Amino acid sequence: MEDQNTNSRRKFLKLGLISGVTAMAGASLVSCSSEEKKPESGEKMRLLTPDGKIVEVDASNINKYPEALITPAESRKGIPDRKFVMVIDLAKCSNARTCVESCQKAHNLDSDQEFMKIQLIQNNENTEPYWFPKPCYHCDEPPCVTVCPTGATFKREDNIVLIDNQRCIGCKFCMTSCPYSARQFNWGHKAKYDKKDQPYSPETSVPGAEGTVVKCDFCPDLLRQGLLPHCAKACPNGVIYFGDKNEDIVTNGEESFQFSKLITDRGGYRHLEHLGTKPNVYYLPPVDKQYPVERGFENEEEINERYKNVPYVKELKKQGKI
Amino acid sequence: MDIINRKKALVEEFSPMLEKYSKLTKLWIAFLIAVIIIGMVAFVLQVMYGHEITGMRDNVVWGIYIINFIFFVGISYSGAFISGILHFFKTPWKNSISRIVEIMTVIAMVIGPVFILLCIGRLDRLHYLFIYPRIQSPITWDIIAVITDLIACFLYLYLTFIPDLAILRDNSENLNLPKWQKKMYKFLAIRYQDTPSQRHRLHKITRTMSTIVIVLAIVAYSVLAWIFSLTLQPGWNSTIFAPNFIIAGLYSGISVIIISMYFIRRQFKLEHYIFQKHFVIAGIILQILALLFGYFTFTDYFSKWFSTKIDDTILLNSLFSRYFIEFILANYIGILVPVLVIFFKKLRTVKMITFAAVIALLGLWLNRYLLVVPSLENPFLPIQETGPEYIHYSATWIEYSLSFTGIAAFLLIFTLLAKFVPIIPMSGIIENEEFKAKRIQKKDSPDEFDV
Amino acid sequence: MKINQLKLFISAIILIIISTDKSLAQGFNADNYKIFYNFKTVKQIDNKRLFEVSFVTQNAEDKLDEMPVFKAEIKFLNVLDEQEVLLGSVLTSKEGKAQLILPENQTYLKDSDGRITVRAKFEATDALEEQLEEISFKDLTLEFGITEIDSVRTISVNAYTLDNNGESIPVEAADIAFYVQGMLSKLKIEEGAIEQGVYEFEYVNQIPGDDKGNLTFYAMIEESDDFANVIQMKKAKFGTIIEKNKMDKNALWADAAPIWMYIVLSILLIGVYSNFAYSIVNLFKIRNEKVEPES
Repeated sequence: MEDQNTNSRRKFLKLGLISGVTAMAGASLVSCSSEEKKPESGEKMRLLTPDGKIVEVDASNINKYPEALITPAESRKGIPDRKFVMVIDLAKCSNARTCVESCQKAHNLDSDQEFMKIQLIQNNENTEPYWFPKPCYHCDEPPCVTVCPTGATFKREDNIVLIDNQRCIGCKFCMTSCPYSARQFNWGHKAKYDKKDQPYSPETSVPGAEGTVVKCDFCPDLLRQGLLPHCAKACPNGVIYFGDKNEDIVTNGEESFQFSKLITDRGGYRHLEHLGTKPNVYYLPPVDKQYPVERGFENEEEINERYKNVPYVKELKKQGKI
Repeated sequence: MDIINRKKALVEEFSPMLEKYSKLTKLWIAFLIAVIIIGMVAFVLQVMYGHEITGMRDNVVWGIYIINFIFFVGISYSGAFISGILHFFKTPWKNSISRIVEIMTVIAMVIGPVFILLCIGRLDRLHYLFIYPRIQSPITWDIIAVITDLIACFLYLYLTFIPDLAILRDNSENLNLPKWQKKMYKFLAIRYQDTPSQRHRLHKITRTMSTIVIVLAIVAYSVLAWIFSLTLQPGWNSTIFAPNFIIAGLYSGISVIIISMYFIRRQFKLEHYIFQKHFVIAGIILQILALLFGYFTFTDYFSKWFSTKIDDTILLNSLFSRYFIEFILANYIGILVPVLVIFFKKLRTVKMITFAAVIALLGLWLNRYLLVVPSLENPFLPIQETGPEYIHYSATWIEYSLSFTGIAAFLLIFTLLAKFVPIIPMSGIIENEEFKAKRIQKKDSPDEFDV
Repeated sequence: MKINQLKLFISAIILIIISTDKSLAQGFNADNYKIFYNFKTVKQIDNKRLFEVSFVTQNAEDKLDEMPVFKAEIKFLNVLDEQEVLLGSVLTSKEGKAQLILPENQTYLKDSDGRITVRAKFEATDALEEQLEEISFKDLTLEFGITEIDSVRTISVNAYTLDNNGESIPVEAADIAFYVQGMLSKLKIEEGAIEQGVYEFEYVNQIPGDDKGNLTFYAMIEESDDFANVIQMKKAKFGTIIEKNKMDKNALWADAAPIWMYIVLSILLIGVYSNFAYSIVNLFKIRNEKVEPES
């Protein structure tokens, strides 16, 4: 009986709440047994008891592993009937870097490794620069997948491009063929790669492996639970919208839009469209920006240093404003 | 019979090359082994600590390893190409250099692919290439091409060895050689007795193999070029890459041939087999290839410079600023020096031609460097990273040491192989003499062997 | 060199972890933490009523450092004037939430206007102060209707409260919003105000729905001063079914390559390797040839 129970639960989690989605997402307001929700994968969780003690609960108690583990073989299929898209509203980005940090935390990355990168793009010297969050574009015609000699990186039915780091031989060909520099390499050995308390799944990209390629994975582990990817959830400005193109709805957690209407009304575009890779990340142009560009320089000096070659930044430096 | 005596005489003539290890040779071998040992240490360190100890990082993911790979494999393919051509057209003067070319081909083909292995993060998973192959990937094509070409080159080299091995087998009793070496001669000579029908058969398959080797060289080197040009990377995505690689490979190949001719001639005192004429002919080929290579390189950069595409402009700007000296050395000095040296008749001495070849070789390596590294440093999206090592590439001692190990291994195997069989094919000398004699006797007789 | 640095780094981290552990063991310092104590009630789609308290502390300096209060006893009390009736008492979960669900026919103490007041109370401990919040609301019933007549799609709601005699009284005014359920969120399709107990609009949106065109609609009154939260749900086949494009079977980026690649590769390989075989066969012929002794 119990076996059957866990089994069906496992199935339910794996199917990505196809049937359960309504019940689950409704649960944000409506009831549902509260134990079911919100795992912070692979970490310790701190709780406060009424008598003022702080207890640390092992994440595995809250987390659904191993029942919800999507094995590398299973992760090749994708969530049925979904086509995931992301829309990034450049008018709202202030380089707060919350998306970067929450992504790094969730994927157990070091501070110098970023799946989501925020670049300062100035198209030419006469135009104003803008902050440009850049995840993996999960292209429909991904050149990285084409060139992989072992099929370690693959395109799924639900638009997501993942890497199986147990299959990757580390030839780095995919890194040179990605025109968006979305991929990174685990150059050296790190202690965290040996942590086996959470079994590896390409859907979580954790734990990493030395000598393999990593990149943004669109957090399919969260999507299966009806949750937004970490970056979209964390953004304080609601810059990142995420959703299923099949149902034509995207959300940033606060507000939802009809995807087709949003990109039509706001002039959405895909970066470097002419390369023909057909990205699944769309950008809304930086029109009527909510924050001045300078707001983005309120970070550490080390981060600001990155943008020193942008003409606008050079100009600011000359004027002594930075 | 004459031939038997002539064979004996030749073996005697070449026996010092096979028998003696002079002090200098021993020192030379010891030096090469020392270089290789340092390289091994570097390799162990790289395996232990991961690629972190190389200069490669997220943008420049392939450093001088892949440049060496292109370089060595280019030498090999061009060697195959040149020796195939020499054999196919039965060039009369080819005999003196054909073995040098063939040996060079095989050794470079063995060493080159080792460098691509050094680029691979997980050598323990190398077999996945065969367990989970994807034929869409140019890497898969390249693996197939390299393996096929390696087999072809070995087979071809062996075919050209057989007559000499037979001669050595028949005349080795007086040679002061270890027993295993004599046994090897016997085994490898496969009862070849140089009968007309055996000779006919051997010539026939050597000839077909020589065509296959030419075709394979073109296909395989194009595949290598496609690894780069089939990506979208600015600077790489160019239709001229494959032909350019082939010309560049030939250019480096002929340079290596000239350089090795020079040293072999000096070392083994082969002035009566390798003449200045050989150098001049090779020099002229070098000049023609320099012009072609310069032309291909020029069109590639010229169309980038003339276009207004921003990515190409940024790439060229970096070539003209950060990499200016390298650019001049690779694409001006490396091409103009060989052209000019051969152009002036007075300069066509053995030494000057060899010097030109060295310049050409170094220039070409730099040219490959400029093809790989600046392109990777200028992707579509500007690099905005924190660490300087992520922005610009500079190789570490690990990479340099392994590169020199590659060169040392090349030289070591060359030295040892030259101890195993005479560097000038004896059978070829005899054939040439027979041919000449026959031509004097009766000019209209049908050839005994295939032409 | 690098290894040493690494060791130093790791031991530093371990030290930090140990030292923070100690500070944790000393207990919780309420001064550093802001307390978020939130109470709300929702009338759910099955007309059951949910009372929920969310009890979370947040580090005043580091907003990402949140700690839910776990196993805190929350008492839900129905109050009217001096009267207090305990509706239930629930411990908070690991997310810091205490939920109480009461059936549709639950009776409450109501004032003359029909208002129900519920108090959620956490009694003070040594570490935490007493928390108390109160909601007062009228019990509203929402009837959700979806019709399609002559391809005119109409969505409507009827909203009323019941008086003491069980007579329904149409709601005079309340803001209402309509949503379509998505995988990750609800998409708002209409917003308006109920007048005289009714709100009605024509559904004109083009939303795909699932593979059969089914859409799930929600009507929601949110955070209303009079009625708190009320939700109703209904499904309808209003979706515009879009053709879902399947991935190419034979593509550069798929598992299987375009057919021509297999053909060309096979021809090349067969051609070359058969030549190798031919050469080797000939070598064997040379080897096995009867050699006449040379004269």
